[in-house]
Amino acid sequence: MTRRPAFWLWAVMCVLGLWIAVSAMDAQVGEFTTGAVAGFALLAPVLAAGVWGLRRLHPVRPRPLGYALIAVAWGGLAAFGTALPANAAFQAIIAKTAGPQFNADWGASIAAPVDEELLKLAGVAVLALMAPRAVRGPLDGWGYGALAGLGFQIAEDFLYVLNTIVLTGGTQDANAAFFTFGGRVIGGAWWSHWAMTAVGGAGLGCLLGRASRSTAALACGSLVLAMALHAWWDSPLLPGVALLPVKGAPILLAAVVTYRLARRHYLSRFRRAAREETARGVLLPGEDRVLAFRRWRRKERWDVPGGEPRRLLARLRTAELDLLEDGFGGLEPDPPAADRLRTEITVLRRRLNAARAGPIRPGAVPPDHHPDAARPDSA
Amino acid sequence: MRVKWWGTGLVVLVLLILGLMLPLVDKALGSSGTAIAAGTVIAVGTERAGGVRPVTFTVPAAGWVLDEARSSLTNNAELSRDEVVFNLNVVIPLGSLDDRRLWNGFGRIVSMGGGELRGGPEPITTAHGMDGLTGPLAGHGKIGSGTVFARDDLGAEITASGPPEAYRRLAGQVRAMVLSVEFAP
Repeated sequence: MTRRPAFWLWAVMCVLGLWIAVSAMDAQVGEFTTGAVAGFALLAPVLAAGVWGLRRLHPVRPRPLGYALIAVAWGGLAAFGTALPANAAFQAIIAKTAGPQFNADWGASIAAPVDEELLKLAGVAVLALMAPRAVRGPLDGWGYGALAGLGFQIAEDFLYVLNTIVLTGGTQDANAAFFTFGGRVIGGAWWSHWAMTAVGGAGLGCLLGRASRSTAALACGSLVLAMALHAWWDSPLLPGVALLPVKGAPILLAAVVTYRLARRHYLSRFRRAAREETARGVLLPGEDRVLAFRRWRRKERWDVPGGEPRRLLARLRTAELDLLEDGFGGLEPDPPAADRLRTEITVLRRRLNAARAGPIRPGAVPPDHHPDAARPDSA
Repeated sequence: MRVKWWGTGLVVLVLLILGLMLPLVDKALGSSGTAIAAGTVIAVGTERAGGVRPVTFTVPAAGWVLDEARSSLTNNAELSRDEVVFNLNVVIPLGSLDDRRLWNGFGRIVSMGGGELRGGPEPITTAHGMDGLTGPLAGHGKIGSGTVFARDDLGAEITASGPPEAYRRLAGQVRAMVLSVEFAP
C-alpha cells in the first residue's frame, strides 16, 4: 500500500488537514479548555460507536478496521481541514458577488455541499486507489463514504462546540458542549454528513467497481443527490428546531434506500458467485449458506477444536469469502487471483481435515439452525 | 498510465481546485466592501418572523465600508474605515446573562485573538436607554474599545480598534455607533 501514490496523498492530506484544523482552533481550545475537553469527551465515544456500527453494516462480514480508519481519518482530518479555507473562500466569493444578505441566507447551502461532498467523497476514491480490493461496488462505496462522512461530522461537531462557546459570549463552556451535543448529535446525527456521503459513495462505488457510461452517470447522479440533500439541510427553508426531523427525514431515507439497493446488489452477486464456485467444486454443497451468515460462521467454530484447526477454519472462510468477492470488480482487476484463492482453499481444506479432531464437516449447517427463519443480515 | 497514477492525479486536481483555487479567486476579487451612507441602520442576528434581525446600530457618517466577506449578518457585521475596524457580534445566551458576566466572557474572547481588555469597565447607556459596559482594549500595536450589552435572551459584543492615530480620529464616530445599538423587543 505504501508504494502507491494515493497512500502518500492520504498521509500528506491528513497531516495538512490536521495542521489547518489545529491552527484554526488552537486559540479557542487554549482559552476554552473546559468546553473543549467536555466536547472531546462527549464526541469520542460517538465516533467509536459510529465506526463500530458502520463497519458492521454489511450483510456478510464487517469492513476491515484498517480501511475503516483510513476513511474516517480522511473525513476528519484531510477533508475537514481542507474544507475550512475552501468554505471560507467560497462564501466570501458569494458575499462579494451576491451581497452579504444573500450570503447570510444561502451562502452555506451553496458552498458547503459543493466543497464538503467533493472532499469527503475523495476519501472513497483515495481508499480505492490505495487498496483496490477495498471498494468493489456500491455497498463498499456506501460504507466507506459513510465512514468518511462520520469522521468529518465529528470534527465539525467539535468545531461547533468551540463556535457555540464564542456565540454565547464566552459565558458558557461545558454547557455549550452539552448544548452542541444535544443539538448536533442526539438531534441531528441521524441525517448528517455520514448519510449524505454514503449516498454519494454508493454511486462512486458503482463506478470504481465496474467502469462504464451507466456507472459513471450513476456516480455523477448520486454525487448531485448528495449535494442536493446537503443543500436542503443547510438551506433557510423550514427553519426552527421543531421542523428539523422533517428536514432530516429525506436525507436519512435516501441513505437507507441507497443501502438497501446496494445490499441487494451485493447479495445477488454473492449468491451467484457462490453457486458458480459450488458447481466448480471449490465450495462444498451447503457451504454457501454458512458463508452468507456471520452467526453461522461463528457457531461452526464452536464445533471445531481450538488452536490450529480453528485458525485454519477461519482462514478457509476468509479465503472463500475473498474468492466470492473477487469477481465483483474494482479499480485494478487481478485475473490470476481467483485461481490463487481456489488453490489456497483446496490446501486449507486439506490441512483442516487433517488437523481437525472433531467429526464436523466444514460447511455443514449447525443442527440447531433453520435456514428459512434466518436472514443474511441477522448477524 | 495505470489508474493509480491518473486516478490520484484526478483527486489532487479536485483538492487543488477546492483548497487552493477558491482562495485564490477570493483573493483576486479583492477586499470588496459596500460603502455605507451616513444614517444607514445595520441589522445583525438570526432573522425573525418578517425578516427582522434583532440587533441594530446606525452608521453616523459616510466613509465606513461594510466588509461583505467578513460580515455574516447572522452573527456579526464588520465595518472599517482608515484601518479602524468596528465589529459587532451577536451573543445567544444558553443561560442567564448579565453585563458583568458577558464582560468577563468577552475578555476571554478578546484574549483569544491576542488582544487584551485594559482596566475595569465603565457603565454605558445607549441612546435608547440600554445599559452596558465599556472599556479600552489593546493588542497587536492597536488601540480601541470593547463594549457589551446583555439582555436575558440576547447580547452584543462590540470591538473597535485600529492604529492609535486613526482610532483617536474616529473615536467619536465609533462611540456614536456604540450608543446607537438597539435590541428589538
